[in-house]
Amino acid sequence: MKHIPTAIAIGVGLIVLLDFFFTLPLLDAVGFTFREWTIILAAFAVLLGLVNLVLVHLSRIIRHNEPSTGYSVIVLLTAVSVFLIGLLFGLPSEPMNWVFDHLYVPLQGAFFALVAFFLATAAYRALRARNLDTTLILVSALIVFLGQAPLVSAMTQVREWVLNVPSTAGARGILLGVALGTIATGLRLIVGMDRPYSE
Amino acid sequence: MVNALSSLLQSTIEPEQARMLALFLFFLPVFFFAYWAVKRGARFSLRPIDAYTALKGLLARAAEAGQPVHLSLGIAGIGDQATADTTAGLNVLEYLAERAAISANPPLVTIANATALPVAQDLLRRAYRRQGYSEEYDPGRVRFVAPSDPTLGSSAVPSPSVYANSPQDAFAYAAGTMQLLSKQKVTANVMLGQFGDEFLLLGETGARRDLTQIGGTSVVSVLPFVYATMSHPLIGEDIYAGGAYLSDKPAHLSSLLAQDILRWVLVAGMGVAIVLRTLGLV
Repeated sequence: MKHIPTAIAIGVGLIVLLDFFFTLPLLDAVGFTFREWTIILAAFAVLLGLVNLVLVHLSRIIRHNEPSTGYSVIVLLTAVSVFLIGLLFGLPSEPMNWVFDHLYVPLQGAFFALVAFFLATAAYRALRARNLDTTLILVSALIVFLGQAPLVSAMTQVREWVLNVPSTAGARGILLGVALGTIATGLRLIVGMDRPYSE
Repeated sequence: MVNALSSLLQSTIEPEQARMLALFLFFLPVFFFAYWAVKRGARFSLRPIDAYTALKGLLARAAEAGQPVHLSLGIAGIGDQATADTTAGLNVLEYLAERAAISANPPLVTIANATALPVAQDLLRRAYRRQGYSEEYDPGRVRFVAPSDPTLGSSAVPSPSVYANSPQDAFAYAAGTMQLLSKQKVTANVMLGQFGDEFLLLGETGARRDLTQIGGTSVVSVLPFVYATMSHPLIGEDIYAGGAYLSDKPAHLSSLLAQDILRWVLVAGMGVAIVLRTLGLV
């Protein structure tokens, strides 16, 4: 009985993989159906997520065992309000557009602006020359930084070299490793050696 | 016959897919050979990865302090292109859950993609059951903070229609998790999975609290943030090695060995190609 989920996962995984590689009418149709099912499953997962969110925040409010429970009240009130607006007026509606344009977008913009400040403090920490690695990073950062300003033309060329040669080479090396790691992980899942979904 | 086979192949497989299939088929025997060798008792030394060594030491400290470890599984889920990254995070969760179940100090897990929620909760539940403490399992230790979608960059303007077609960016997730990291008593912050710019926000919040931070992602553009904020960074494919370093499972060890073999083959291939090209032979 416990092998059934593994067998289903292996079967579906193989079909979707074959569908990715080959263009065959039957395989395409089956693969398409599985992908459609994924969307339905993901939608159910979002419902589970919503239930989890409500339960976690309700529990925080009731138990009062974690700091800043006031935020949980705000989260729940906001979630209920937006949920009701969506339910009553639908997604592409004037009230929903107002919520997004006047609440969500400004909040997102403000939050995105924080990145600049966080970047400054993180850069300060990363660029302190403590050892050879950090010294190399500091020198490269300085070259790229100065190369941005059109003061010294030679620096612009050095900047181009830093970005196009060592930086790109490093990035490609990492991407190569990531590709191999992704293949290995996918293979372990497809052949059922890695089963996060069952015992 | 050969022509017929060739035309059949051309009609059923695109050139790009053919290249990927070739790499996959090349990987397959290497992987199974490595698996066979590991199963037969072959052992090979793993280069020390500082982050996994630190992770092993974290749990004792967490149990001593009575404070949990926070684990973020990133903004991707199960079934999308970054499933491998989420799986890497789940491997670490499995390790943390197994040990935390004994010390009654489960990790606090935050996620931004609902598809990872049931899997993460199930991993935690099974860890408790295996240790015989099923009644201690609390599903609220895995928290869905806010939806996100890595396919949407920060340039995408959120709107109801965007939301209807797919969830949105991860700043809402970052806001919720930053609040947790700055107010909640946690021993360490572990971040493993797919991340975007929000990695900096979360990592920097943890760094300001002087938390032990272990984190990594496969996204190249986020790696500077990883290096800048994490006390124990995992760069690129290091995140996929967690299973081999933490659980010692043959499948994980063999896939790591296969990756290394294939990497050397590819490097050698590139070297040969460079020489041939330089000599004008190709």
